[in-house]
Amino acid sequence: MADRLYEIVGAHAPLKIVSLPPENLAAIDFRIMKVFPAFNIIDAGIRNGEIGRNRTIVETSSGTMALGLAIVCMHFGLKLHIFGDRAIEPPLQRTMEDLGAEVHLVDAAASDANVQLLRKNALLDFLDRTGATWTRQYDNLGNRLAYARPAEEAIRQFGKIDALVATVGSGGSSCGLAHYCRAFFPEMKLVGIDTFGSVLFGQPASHRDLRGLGNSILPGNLLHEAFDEVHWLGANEAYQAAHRLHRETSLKRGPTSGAAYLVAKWYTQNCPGSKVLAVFPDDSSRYEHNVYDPTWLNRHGYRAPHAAAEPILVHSPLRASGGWCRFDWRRRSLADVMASSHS
Amino acid sequence: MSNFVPEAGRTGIHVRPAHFRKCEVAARLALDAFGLNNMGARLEVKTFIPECVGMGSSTTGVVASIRAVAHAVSAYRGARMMPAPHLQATLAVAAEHASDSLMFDCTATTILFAHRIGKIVRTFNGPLPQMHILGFDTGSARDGVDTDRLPRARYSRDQIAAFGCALAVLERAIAEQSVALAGRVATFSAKMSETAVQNPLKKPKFNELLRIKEGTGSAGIAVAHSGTVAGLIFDPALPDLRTRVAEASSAIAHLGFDHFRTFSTPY
Repeated sequence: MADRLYEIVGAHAPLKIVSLPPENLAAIDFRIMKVFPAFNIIDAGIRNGEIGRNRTIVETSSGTMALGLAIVCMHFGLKLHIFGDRAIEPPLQRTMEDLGAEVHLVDAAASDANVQLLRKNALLDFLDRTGATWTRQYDNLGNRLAYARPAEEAIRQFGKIDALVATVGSGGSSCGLAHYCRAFFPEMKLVGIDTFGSVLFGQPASHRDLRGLGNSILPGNLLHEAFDEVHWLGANEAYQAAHRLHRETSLKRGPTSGAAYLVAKWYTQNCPGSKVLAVFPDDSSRYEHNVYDPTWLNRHGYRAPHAAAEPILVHSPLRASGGWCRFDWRRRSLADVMASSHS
Repeated sequence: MSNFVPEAGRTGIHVRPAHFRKCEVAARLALDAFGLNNMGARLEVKTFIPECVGMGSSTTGVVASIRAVAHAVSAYRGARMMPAPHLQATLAVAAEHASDSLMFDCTATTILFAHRIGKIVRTFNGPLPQMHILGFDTGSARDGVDTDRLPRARYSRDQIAAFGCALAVLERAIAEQSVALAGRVATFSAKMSETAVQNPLKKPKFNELLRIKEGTGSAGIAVAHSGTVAGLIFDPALPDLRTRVAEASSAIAHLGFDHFRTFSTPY
């Protein structure tokens, strides 16, 4: 069973490290990154007896974690209920339903500031009634620990890594990959990418256009002290970056991958000689009819010339507002950063 | 070195000095493996390897005993018969429960050896990079470690998950012939030995040793996971190698540890 599942995980996320121009830049091209935390959380839960047979699993997600869990729960024969929002569009909902999951959508626009809270309340209400098992991707240590295998493959194929550039949502992939790489390369830089209006790195929660990274609640898996540098990107910057990634490398991926490519490329140019690994978490399947559709982009006012081409260095997370901003986090706690950042 | 004289008609193995019990068992098992269950023997063990510090003294004796048996049987039967290394490994693990991997020649490849099963788990394509090792004994002031009685170390889920990454770094170290990378793996392994969740084998003054490593430009620290010896790894290509090693050596002597010897590995 376990061997077959490793194969399935590998089929969804082949762990290919792709060298990209310029020299010293590579990406870990996951496609469906979240099958790793989904598999690790469910597998560990079954091993330690927390998840019994015929158990119902619940999670809040509107993205690839929902899909990852749907894939894994289907193979373990576990019933899955997903609490999401309108970011789950009909094709993704159908995919998960085909795999046997039940999808509950809360009635809030995907970009609403409190969307995660609404999803969580719906889930808690369901938990009360059914006594199901909540996988808690934001706080479950199994999320972070799932990235040992990807880190192993990254080191095996790319060697010593000087800087890791990753978008941040739950903190699982960024902090997990950094944890395992730093067991050998403690000096490795970790560069996190967030978006405006996300609370992850000290901004107040507000409306967010860009999804797939950022959060409106602070996850336990996010270890602020792990980050050397934080970038905030707007939706237009990430969307244009996805196009650029496609045009320059032929890899058609989602806007989170585009964001990682943009920042990693900038980092490589600013630190010549550094070996930089970008994390590409997703493929383009959810973005063909929006990010990759020129009509949609135009209608929503996303235009290439408007996208920031360079980051603006800010001296407080509260000063980051629109376009592309960066901040020298220097492995501090959130409290430390905010205490010295009264703007 | 074991000198083995076959004596037909006797059943026991008479080993000298008498405390080399593992060698005695190994010789018996080797004879049995040749189908000579009724053959007895006199086995003499001479060694210059310090015992009970983690230098592989017991496996050295065990493998030498197996080879001595093979030589004696060859003479007895008039045909050369030497068991292949993997068979020597099986016999060694049967004799002493856990063995070092020194029955395998590792000048062309590097192996990952399951020391309690006696099997090669993985073969790396190439030897370890050449390293200059400053060896010393952290147990100088105390008695040695009886590796047989040592409780098995247990590691956390997180630590075990990182072991795969260690092998990946090692693979790169071998491919790039990088002492720096090999040193990182050794230091990681030493830290795991210090921090195992159950039965860690802590080395006295480990943090001071790490500081000496940093201060002298050593690539890493290697420790015995069942013993008291440790070593600082240096890149032999360092231009000021002699000065650095001398510096490290005096700092280690200052901690009260006996200097063992410096050597180059794997050749």
